[in-house]
Amino acid sequence: MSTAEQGAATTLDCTGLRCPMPIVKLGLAIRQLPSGARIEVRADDPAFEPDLRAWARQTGHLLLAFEPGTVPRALVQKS
Amino acid sequence: MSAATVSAPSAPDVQSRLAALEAEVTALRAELGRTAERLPEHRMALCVVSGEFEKVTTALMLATMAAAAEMQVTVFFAFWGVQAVTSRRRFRGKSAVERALTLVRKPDVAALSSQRFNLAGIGPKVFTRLMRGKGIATPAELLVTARDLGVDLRACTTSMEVLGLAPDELLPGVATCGAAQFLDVAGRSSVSLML
Repeated sequence: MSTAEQGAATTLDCTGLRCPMPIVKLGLAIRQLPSGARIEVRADDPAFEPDLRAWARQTGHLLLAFEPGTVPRALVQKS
Repeated sequence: MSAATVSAPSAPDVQSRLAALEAEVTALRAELGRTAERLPEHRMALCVVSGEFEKVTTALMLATMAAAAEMQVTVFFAFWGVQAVTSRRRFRGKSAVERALTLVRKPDVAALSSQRFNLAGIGPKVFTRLMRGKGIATPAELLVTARDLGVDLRACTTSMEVLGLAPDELLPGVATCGAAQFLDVAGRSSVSLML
């Protein structure tokens, strides 16, 4: 099942952006969401996956799915 | 020793032991409260003493990332680091030395000198263009983002005094800060770094 099929009302395209901007944009976007809301993020930054996992551990938001690829996609749920 | 003295302590004896235990619990509770106050918070304190392009950029990258990870972030700019939070240069009303210092001080974060690739100011411009082309946030963009994220940017009062930097030369909204104030924040921070 692709991350898109799991359903996210909000999508954030960070393609082309480099560290720290994909996570910074995600952090800014998630502030606007209610608890439990999901957001899909796309980013091709080489540090995206490890940064995302570290960020989720620090903030407590949930990384529901991660789909690798040329432009990896992640589904995040606000805690 | 007879069994009676062990199994039946006198009432006053029990009372005094209880009172001692109660006093001990009260003291421990107070100590626990003081310890909890000293535990590091989900907070970051950065001291930026360098005014170099590379160090200020790195500091702002870490500050924005930490704020995105929901840390409370304070950046204390000291000495040439304060250049990063200035927006203009004013010469009027300053001594000759202060005017000289104002002349060498870069007027904003986009004009900072590079440590190894300055080439009379061309280097940072090359860096900035290179970064933009690669999708990397420039120092000016990072500074705007830091403010959007609510990063607390502070200029060191003593450094401002040394450099002859007036409050009206700071970026609007940048507050000043003393050393004790910064140390108080740094002491409560889970991450504190100096650049």
